[in-house]
Amino acid sequence: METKEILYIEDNPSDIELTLRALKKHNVANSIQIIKDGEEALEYIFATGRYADRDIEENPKVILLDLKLPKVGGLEILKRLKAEEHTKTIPVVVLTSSREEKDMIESYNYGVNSYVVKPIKFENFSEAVSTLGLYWLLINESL
Amino acid sequence: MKKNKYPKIQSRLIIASILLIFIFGFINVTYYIDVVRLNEVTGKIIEHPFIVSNSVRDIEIYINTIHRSMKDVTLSTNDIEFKESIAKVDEYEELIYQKFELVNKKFLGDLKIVNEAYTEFVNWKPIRDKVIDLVESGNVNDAAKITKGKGNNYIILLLQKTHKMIDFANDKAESFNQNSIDILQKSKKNFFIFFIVSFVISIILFLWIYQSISYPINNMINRIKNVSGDKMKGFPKNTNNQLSVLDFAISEFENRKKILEENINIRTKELKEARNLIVNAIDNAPIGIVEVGLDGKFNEVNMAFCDIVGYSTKELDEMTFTELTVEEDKNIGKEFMENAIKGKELKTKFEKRYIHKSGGIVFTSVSSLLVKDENNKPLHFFTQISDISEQKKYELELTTHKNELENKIFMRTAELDEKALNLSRSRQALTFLLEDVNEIKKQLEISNSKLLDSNKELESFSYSVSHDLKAPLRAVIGFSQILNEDFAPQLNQESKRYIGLIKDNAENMGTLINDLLNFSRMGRTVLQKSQIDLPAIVQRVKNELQAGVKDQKISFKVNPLPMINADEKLIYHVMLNLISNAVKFTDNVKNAIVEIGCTSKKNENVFYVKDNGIGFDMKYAGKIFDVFQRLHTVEEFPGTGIGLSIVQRIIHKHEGKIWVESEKNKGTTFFFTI
Repeated sequence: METKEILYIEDNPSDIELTLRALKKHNVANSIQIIKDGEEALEYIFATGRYADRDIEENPKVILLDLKLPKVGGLEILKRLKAEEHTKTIPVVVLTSSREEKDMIESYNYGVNSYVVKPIKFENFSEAVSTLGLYWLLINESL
Repeated sequence: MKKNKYPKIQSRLIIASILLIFIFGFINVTYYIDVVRLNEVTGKIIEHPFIVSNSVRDIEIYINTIHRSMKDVTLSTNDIEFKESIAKVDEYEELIYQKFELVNKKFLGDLKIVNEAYTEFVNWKPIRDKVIDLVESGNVNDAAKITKGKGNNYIILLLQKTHKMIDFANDKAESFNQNSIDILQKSKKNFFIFFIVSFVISIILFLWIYQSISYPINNMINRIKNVSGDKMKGFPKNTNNQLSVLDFAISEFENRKKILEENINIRTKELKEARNLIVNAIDNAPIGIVEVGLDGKFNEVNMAFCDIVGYSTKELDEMTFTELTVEEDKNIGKEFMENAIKGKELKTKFEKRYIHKSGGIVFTSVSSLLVKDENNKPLHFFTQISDISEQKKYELELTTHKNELENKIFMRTAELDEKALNLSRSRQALTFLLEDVNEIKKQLEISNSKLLDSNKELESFSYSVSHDLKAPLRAVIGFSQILNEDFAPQLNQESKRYIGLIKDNAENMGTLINDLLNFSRMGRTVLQKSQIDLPAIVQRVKNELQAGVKDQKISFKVNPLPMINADEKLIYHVMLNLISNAVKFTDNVKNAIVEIGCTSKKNENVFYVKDNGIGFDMKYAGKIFDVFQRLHTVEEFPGTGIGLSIVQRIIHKHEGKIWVESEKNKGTTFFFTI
């Protein structure tokens, strides 16, 4: 199974669509893997279960992660991902509605690369998603 | 050493000398008297017996001579012989008279004997005269007869009498001789007795004095032996030589005195150092240490205590601790002092409040101890004082926090009521949540212990709100935008307006939710106080606001503002809210002025933000801080009605007050204290 460049973990279909549109607008729509729950996300990242056939050696270039997810929460995914030698170098951008300081502090403690509070206004939202995603994508490619 | 253990040598010597002088004086006087008496007696021996007996013998010789001369007279052959003989008789007669006179003077015995002899001599004279007459008349034979007869008788009688006198004188001489021998004998005896007595007395006195000298010296030497030991270096071999032992003892004493003095000097130095150490330790101790006299005055104080009360050591010299004590606490210290002096308690620990020189009150923990001398007489109090103002402040804060928490429960209840009500009003979707809130409210009312659970629920509620409510809003806004972007050609003007309305409303709701979340978060925030620079904050607010209101002409007047101790982030929020309100409500006013400043009222800083905007009727002043309370329509002035509630909440969290004064069309002033 082929590994996509961007792994986008989000359960809200509206947000997915808005994000995809924003990315497409900035020409980074290619190669995005969308996963809608936490458990599946972990299987994908560690190439287990449904994604056992994925080449574990090949990591996504960037992960866009929502915090509020079914089954396994975003913070839990972040924690496990950053704890693993093999996956801890993948840049993770947390995309969330939560302005809670607690979430922000915890995310940074686990080693998040960027933390973005989703703006309500569409223009702002679209701007934030694409620039941050792009930024990390480019940074990682150049490595 | 006990007093009078040894007799006084001096007094004994004086007593002995006086006694000896007295004894020898007595002996001399007695001896002198004896010599005088002896002299007298021997004088008499010489004078009387010799003079008297010699004179009497002379008389006898003279009489014999006269008797022979008388014979010559009778036998004289011629006139010349006759006259020569008579002259010889007259001459010796005269000598006899003289001798009689002498004897009469010196004779010690009965003068009758002398007189008898003299009478016989006188009685002989007529016979002599008769003989001479007879011879002259030529009757030589008669004369010879008378001379041989009567004359001879008288001579014999006279010689008898003179013999008697010689015998008496001899007897007398013998008795005087005997007398002088007696006196000499007696004197010898006396002298011997005195010699013995004075010898014995002298020996006794000698022993008496010897005892007063020798006994103490021997005693001292024994003591020296005990102290220094006779095997010590330099100890005299012959301990009978007491003076050398004493000399050794004195030089030993001098040596030891020197060593002792050196030791004392070393000890004194060590003591001084130790004392300095203690003094330094006390001086630099982190707690106050004082020595209080029985009269309550400070004898000694250390630096820490000076710091606690704010007075210098010199000022404290003249002060008592009661002067420095808060009126209500004065008895605590006094009572202990009285009890301690009476012996009821020696040590104590208590808390009391001192008055700082600046007038402030210092809470202290005091522990005091009565120090006594070896005779159990109270000397002074040793007292340690530690400043517990901080601790007290924390205790106070703790109680305030506790009260605050209690208040919070009520407030939270009220808030939840409001929130539930408002939510039900604004959105049908929120009515479901209202039930949850009601449930939480009930739980809060039932028991305080469930408050934590409620808080958690509230938090998860906020969390949900931020997630679950914002996502659909974002979708609404996002898709309205997409609709506008992607299908613009198919949409007529009216449709575009509706889409715009949908978008605006959804955006408003987003702001509302953000404000609500801020408002509820404020209740949970812990204050992070520091000294903050208000003018800098005001400047930041101005910068931020001026970016948004380029076309509005407002003159800001910022008066000097003091530094305050508060949470910088929250105060920024307050200033942002109040100043942006002022800007907002001066929108329609020409020459808009916003003034920020501070006045002092009853030692309290009152900050104010004043505008000359549209103002409001003071009858709504009570409502202005209520959540969702708005005095103007959104069309007039945009806003959610939560801003001032947040401001009030921040000020209350800082234990301050906030109020407002306003007049319609004149302007509004917000006042607050921190």
